[in-house]
Amino acid sequence: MRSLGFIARRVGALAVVLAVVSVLTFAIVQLLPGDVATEILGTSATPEDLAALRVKLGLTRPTPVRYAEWVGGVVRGDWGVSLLYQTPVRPLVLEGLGRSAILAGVALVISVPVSIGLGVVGALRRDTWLDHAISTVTLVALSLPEFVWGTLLILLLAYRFRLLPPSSFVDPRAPLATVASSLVLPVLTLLLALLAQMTRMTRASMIDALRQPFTEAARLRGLRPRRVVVHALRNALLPTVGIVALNVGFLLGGIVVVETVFAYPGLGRLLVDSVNHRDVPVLQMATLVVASAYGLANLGADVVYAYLDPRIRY
Amino acid sequence: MREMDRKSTCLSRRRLLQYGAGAALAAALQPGAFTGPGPASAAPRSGGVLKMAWASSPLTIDPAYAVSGDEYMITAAIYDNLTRVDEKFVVHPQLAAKWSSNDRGDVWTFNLQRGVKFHHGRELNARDVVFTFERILDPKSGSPARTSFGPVGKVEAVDDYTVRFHLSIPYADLPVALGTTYGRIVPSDRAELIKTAPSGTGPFRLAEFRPGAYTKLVRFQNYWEQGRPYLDELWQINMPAMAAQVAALTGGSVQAMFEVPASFIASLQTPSVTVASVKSPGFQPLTMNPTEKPFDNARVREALKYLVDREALIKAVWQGNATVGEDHSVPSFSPYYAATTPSHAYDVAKAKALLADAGYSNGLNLELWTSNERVGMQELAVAYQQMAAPAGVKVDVKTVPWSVHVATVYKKKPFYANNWFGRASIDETVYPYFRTGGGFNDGYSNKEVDTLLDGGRATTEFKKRKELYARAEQMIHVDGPWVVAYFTMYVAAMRSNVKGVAVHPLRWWDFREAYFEG
Repeated sequence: MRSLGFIARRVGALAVVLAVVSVLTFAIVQLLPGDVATEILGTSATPEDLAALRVKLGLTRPTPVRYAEWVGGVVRGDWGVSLLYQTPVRPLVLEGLGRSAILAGVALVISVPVSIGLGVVGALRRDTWLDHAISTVTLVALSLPEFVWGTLLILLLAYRFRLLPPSSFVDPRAPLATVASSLVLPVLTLLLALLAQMTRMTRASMIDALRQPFTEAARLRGLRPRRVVVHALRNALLPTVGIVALNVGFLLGGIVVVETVFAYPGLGRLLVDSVNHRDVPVLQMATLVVASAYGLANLGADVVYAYLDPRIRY
Repeated sequence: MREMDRKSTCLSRRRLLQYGAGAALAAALQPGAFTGPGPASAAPRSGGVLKMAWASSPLTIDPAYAVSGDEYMITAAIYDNLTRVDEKFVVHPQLAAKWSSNDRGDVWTFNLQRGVKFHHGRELNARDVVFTFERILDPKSGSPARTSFGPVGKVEAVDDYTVRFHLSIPYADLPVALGTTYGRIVPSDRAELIKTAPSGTGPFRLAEFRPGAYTKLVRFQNYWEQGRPYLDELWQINMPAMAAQVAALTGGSVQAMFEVPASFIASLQTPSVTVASVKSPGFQPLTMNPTEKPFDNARVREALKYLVDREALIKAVWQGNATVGEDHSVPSFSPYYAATTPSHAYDVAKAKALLADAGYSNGLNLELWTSNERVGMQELAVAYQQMAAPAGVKVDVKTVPWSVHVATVYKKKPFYANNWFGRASIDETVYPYFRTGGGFNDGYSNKEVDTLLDGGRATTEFKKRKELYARAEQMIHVDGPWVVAYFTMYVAAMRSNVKGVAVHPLRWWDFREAYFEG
């Protein structure tokens, strides 16, 4: 099948992208001022202590040698050891990925149907009070950055009304209801941005699709209005699918802000911490995981494109 | 041999405190302790889970490398020291039941408590103490603790319960130094597990260490102090957002908050929460490198000290929660503090005259480096820019993140703001910053100051010692390389039913006596 060949080529390209990303990440960290030794010792460091610690952590060997060793390890399935915590990288990254995936998954599962529904309603009821209401609310939601929304929600729902826990930290052995309630605020914060973006995109492309000759033709052929809407929607969804794919990447790496505000120990937090502390082995794998997720999501979007639009064949 | 057992140590220290510390601490805004109902009441109740919210997260739990408050809290729970330094800087016995020194003060002998168990079941002995310090003193360790115990040369086990420290020069502050965060005693038989699965003799065992999320500690059933600790579990929880911490504390999902920024104090004024503050020896100096122009001229350094309105700065940056500094590192509540002259009150005319004297009658252009990731540092730099301008000193403020500050500004730029939390002993409060070649000294070198500080190190008699430090403070005040405008206060908060915990000026947290009331 041709499409299988397409997927194989894309996966091959993704591997090349990951290799380039790993070189760039490694190189950029070398350019940043400071290293893990200055991070560990802080201001109490003396030059002798720094030198001794660098030897201990293996930081004194040339950068290409360290990179080659890292690649060798990864190829053999060894993700290495965190310079900071002296624990294996694999569980650190996989645990973070798992937690972020829960957060992102819940946010996506809710946001995709809701935003498509709202977008379609807005387009069909164009210029009514309902459409205006949806537009205004989504515009407000988009206008404020996540850390403002997060803090506002904490102040309102956790501090003022005490409805929900302010932080997503929970004892992993806590009952399910406790775990679920701690996810509400971070998911809500993510939803605000996601919903707004996708709703507006769906509305715009739906309005466009409803204007197209093929919709007019369907209507003139005497199809029931509901069939006409489905007809138009299939065409209107193309840009939304692209946005969803981009959002998968955004959700996995870019929920950094939400994870920080709510102290959620996911992949985003891990990325920020490993950059801050120059913990290269952790940073490398966390970056690769996010880059892979981005690549795979886009690949998925292309496959869905082809399904939605018969004109697209790879 | 001069005996320094429990009683005499406490007494002599208490006498020192009459010189100022006790009174000053009592006069702090609110009582600096979450204390119990007092000895007359019923014994504290055992049980309960205490969770403490922190904005930061520990990088290591190895006491030889721990350099921040979040790390100290965890190592203090897992381990014990030979001595304990309390919130008034009084030294108490901990793993050492008593100690003594020779007359010169360069050989110290510590007698260990018997029957102390590690978490993995083995009994503590003198070899563990020797191992702990040899591990740190090994030049290959790269441990920042290497230089923090003064001139320790060799540590030997005399018998199973006796340890002897041989020093290269007399060092009066050794018992204080051993009670600080680096001096936690680790077992000699589990070296490779210290960073991941530590075992100590402390009141709590490590259950889970999840950097960036939380650290969970549980009560050690065989702790050597009978009946301690009272808590079943102690958690440190990472909550970067202050609003989340405030909501969690007032809502009761955490019971303590490590640090309350001045602007959040009002939102914690509820009956279920107690906010407590202490004067701390922490400060934020403007550091000048005297080996570089124009700071090589003592008159320039002095001129810049006249260009800061200390009272105004304390009001603007700290909402009044700070005390005036006198351009050296000894806070006014230290027993070794002595008033200095002349007062460096804000005086543009005097600064201009000093600058003209130094050959800078047309003023100065300076780059002042600071960080936006430590409360107060950026505000300090910007305020200084405004205050210095009328004297023709144009200050260009350069702001960087803290990790960049540590790597490229600290000890590298000629003029920068910095952030120090202060130290327990008077030697460590002054020596590393101002002695020629001191660990945190940028290049200041004054023979007279060196002589005074070397003398202070070796002198054990308080009055003589204080005299030496008073003279050093006066010299540094005028000639020294720092503008120290203020000493900060440390504010923390807890649920009102938490008792038995003191707010330590060095931000050390010790929960072995903590319990829930009622």
